[in-house]
Amino acid sequence: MKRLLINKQILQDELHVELVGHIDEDSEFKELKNLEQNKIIFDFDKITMINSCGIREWIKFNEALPQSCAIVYKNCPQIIIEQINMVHGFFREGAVIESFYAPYFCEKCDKESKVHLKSSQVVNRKAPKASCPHCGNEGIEFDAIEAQYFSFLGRV
Amino acid sequence: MNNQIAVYSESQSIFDQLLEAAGDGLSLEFNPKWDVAKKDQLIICDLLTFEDMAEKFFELPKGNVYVISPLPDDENMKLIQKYSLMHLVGQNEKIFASEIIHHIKKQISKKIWGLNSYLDTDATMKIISLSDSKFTNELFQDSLAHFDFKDYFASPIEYLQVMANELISNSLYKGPNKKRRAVGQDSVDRKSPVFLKGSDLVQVTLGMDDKGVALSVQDSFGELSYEILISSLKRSFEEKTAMDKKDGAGLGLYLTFLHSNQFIINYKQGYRTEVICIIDKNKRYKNYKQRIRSFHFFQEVAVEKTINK
Repeated sequence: MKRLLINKQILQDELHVELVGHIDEDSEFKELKNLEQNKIIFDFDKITMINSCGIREWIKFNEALPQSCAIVYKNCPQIIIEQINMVHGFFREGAVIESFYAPYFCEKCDKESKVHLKSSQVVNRKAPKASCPHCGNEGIEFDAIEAQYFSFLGRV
Repeated sequence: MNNQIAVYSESQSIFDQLLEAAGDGLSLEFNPKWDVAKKDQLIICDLLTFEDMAEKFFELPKGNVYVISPLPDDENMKLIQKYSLMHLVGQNEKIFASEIIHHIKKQISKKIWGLNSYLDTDATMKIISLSDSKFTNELFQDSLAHFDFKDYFASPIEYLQVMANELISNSLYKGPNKKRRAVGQDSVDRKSPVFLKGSDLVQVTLGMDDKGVALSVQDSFGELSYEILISSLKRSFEEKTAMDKKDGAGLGLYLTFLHSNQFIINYKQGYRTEVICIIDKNKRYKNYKQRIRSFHFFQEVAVEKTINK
């Protein structure tokens, strides 16, 4: 199993955390405990897998973070979004999901793309318009069930 | 078990689709009088009819009743639990009939184990045998590399990795729990490596044909009874939370179920458990998510040997 790699960068009062690899039963977040920053930004872009024990470890770690600490999650891959929608408590209440990936499909080139979206682009759980990164086709189709896929936005 | 199948439905179309899928091998009757439903007869029923007649179905062996449901997963899980259903088939147009007939033929043949009944003879297959928890993910990833997913939406590889991880872990860590308890040992923490003893093995099979990709994880313990399975799924569907116990988070079967289009358990108490997950060939993630999941539980009963003196 590819062990979870945690890259930290402290920028004044903010801690930027890049998570790389798999989140599983062996994932330890010890190095992120007892930090003094008021804001933590988690970047999930390079997370490739998360299993059920990983979900539990992540939830436990999030619950232990000080309530006064502002939490931001960004670049959440589709697999993370699906887990959030399936399991409660994955993201801490009051936290901000800044950005994530969503599946779109281009009929013209017959390809699926993971389009990077900002949460602010999703209004009333409607997928924003997007262009195909392969052929440039404008107005490619959102390829999930909107009410289901965007349900996490109403939870945190 | 005979080849006569009783179909109870308010829809002629459902019967016609089943009849077409059945071909010559099976004999289907449309809404026959109830007294024909003998104890060894298989029954297919749409949900409305089933709920109207539910009390009658209690007279029959649970494994003989196939219910077709158009409801979403969480509602279907309540139905499975309420009526102890062993076969619930999602009412997905064009495919539900062949799916039911396929499973009925499997049941009649009494050859429930393995992926052979789910895949064409020219399917690509890879088999891994495991006796410890080392490198299980790496081995499975190597197997995945032998398959071509160009006709699929982007995520099946990720799902298959998660499903294999969960099912292999369940087999390695939870499968031998009864044996461990029998010798006074405790369950093993998921953070610790685990080694199976003697002839105990976990066999992982991945197969792909023109219809879809199938994953089978089979152990030699036979501890995933219907009651344990349904209790785990029920808790997860209702609570959607992780449990704090050392041999797992209580979510593995739930996640595996939700990533599958068809979720099938083959079980022989004390001998074997096999979990089969099938994802249909499909380029659109939306279609994958819209498909109503199907659930099947097949149980092989151990035959007691009698010694004639």
